[in-house]
Amino acid sequence: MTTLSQPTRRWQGQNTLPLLLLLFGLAFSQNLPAESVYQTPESFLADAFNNQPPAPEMLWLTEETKATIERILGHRYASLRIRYWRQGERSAWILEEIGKERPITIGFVVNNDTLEKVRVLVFRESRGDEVRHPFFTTQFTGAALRADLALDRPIDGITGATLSVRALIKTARLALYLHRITGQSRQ
Amino acid sequence: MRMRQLFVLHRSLGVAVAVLLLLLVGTGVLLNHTEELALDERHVQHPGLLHWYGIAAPPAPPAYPVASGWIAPLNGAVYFNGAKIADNAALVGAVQSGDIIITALPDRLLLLTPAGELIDVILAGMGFAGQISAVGLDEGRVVVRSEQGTFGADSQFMTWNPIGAASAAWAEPVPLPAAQLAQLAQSDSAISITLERLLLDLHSGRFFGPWGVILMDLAGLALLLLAGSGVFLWARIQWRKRR
Repeated sequence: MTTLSQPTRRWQGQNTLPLLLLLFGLAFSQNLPAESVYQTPESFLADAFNNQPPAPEMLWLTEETKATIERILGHRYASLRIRYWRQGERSAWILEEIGKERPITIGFVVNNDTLEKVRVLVFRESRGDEVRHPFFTTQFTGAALRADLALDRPIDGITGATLSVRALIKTARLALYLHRITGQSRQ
Repeated sequence: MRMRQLFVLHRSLGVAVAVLLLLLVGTGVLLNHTEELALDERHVQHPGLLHWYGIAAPPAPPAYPVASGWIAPLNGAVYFNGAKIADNAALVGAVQSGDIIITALPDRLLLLTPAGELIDVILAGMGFAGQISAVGLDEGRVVVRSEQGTFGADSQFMTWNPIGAASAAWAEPVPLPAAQLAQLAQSDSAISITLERLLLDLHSGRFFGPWGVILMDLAGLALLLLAGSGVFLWARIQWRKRR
C-alpha cells in the first residue's frame, strides 16, 4: 500500500504548482494591453486596390476642415495633414482613434461616398477587440454620411466594447467626410 | 475645578492647538471643493516637497538632439522640448531635415514642425514595412531601418524606396543635459504630487509622519474639549449673572 500511494501523492504535487502558476498568470494577464496586428496597412492598401495601390496623396487641413474633424471626433485633432490613397471614386484611409487609452488603427475604403470596407488593422487596447470581427464591421458596408455628419444607419454596439465601437463609428464618419472633401477639391 | 482654573485651561488649550485647528479647517474647506478647484489636476513640483515625499528626479534618459531642441523619453512617453508628443511609446530615434523633425517610434514616424506641431504620422506599412529600429540621414535624405530593410523617403515623405544607405548617419542617443532634464521633469505628472494629495496629507497629519496623525487626532479631541469647556464657561457665567 505504501509503495503505491507514495508516487501518486508526488505526481499530484508536481502538477498542482504549474496549474497554480498558470491560473496566477492568467489572472494577471487579463489587463495587460497587447498590440494585435490583424492586417498591416500595406496589405490593407494592396487588398483595397487589387495589389496596385496608387501613390499616396496629402490633404492639408484648413481651419474649417480641422474644426469639422474635431466636431466629428469630439476632441482636438493635432495633425496638420492626412495622407490618403485615391483612384477615381474610391479612396482608402488609415485612421487612428483612441478607444479607452490607446489608439486603434482602422482602414476604410470609401466608394462613391459610401463605405465599402472597414477593417481593424491594429488593436492596442486591453479589451474591446470584438470590433475587429466581420459581424461588426460589415454593418458599415454601404453606410453614407448624412448632412449632420452622422451615419445614415444605426450601428449595433457590442457589450463590453462600447468605447471601441464609438471609436470605429467616429472614424467611419471621418473617413466619409474626408472622402467627400477630397472629392470636392478635385471637381 | 474652580472657574478661574477652567478659564486658564480653556485659553491655554485654545492657544496650543490654534495653528493645528487653522490647518484642519483651512485644508478641510479646500478639500470640500476638490472638484470645483480641480485639486486633483493641479500638480506641485517644489523640489523640497518632492524630496520630503521621496520622489527622486529621474536619471538623464538617452535623448536625441535635433536643430530645434531635444527629443527625449520619460516614463513611457516621448517629449519634444518638454512637450509630450507620444504616450505609451518607446523612442527609437530622431533627426531633423530642414524644417521637419522626424521622431521614430517602433511602429510609426511622427513628423513635427520646429515649434512642435504635429504635421503627419506615418505608420509602418505606409511606405516602408516592418518595425522601425533606427532613423537617420543619408546625404540629407531621411532614412529608416526596419525589420524589412532600409528605406529612404522623398522630400515630401510620400514615397519610400529600399536603399543601401551605407553612408547613412543613424541617430545616436546622448544623455539629456541637466537643464533639459529639469524641463522634462516639470512636464511629467509622475514627478509631482497633486494638490489634493498634499492637502489630504496635511489634513490628516500624514504629511508629518505617524506622529503627525496622532497630533491631528489630539487636535480634533482638543476641539471637542474647547467646545465643551466653552459652553460650560458661558453657562456658568450666565448662571452667575442671574443670581
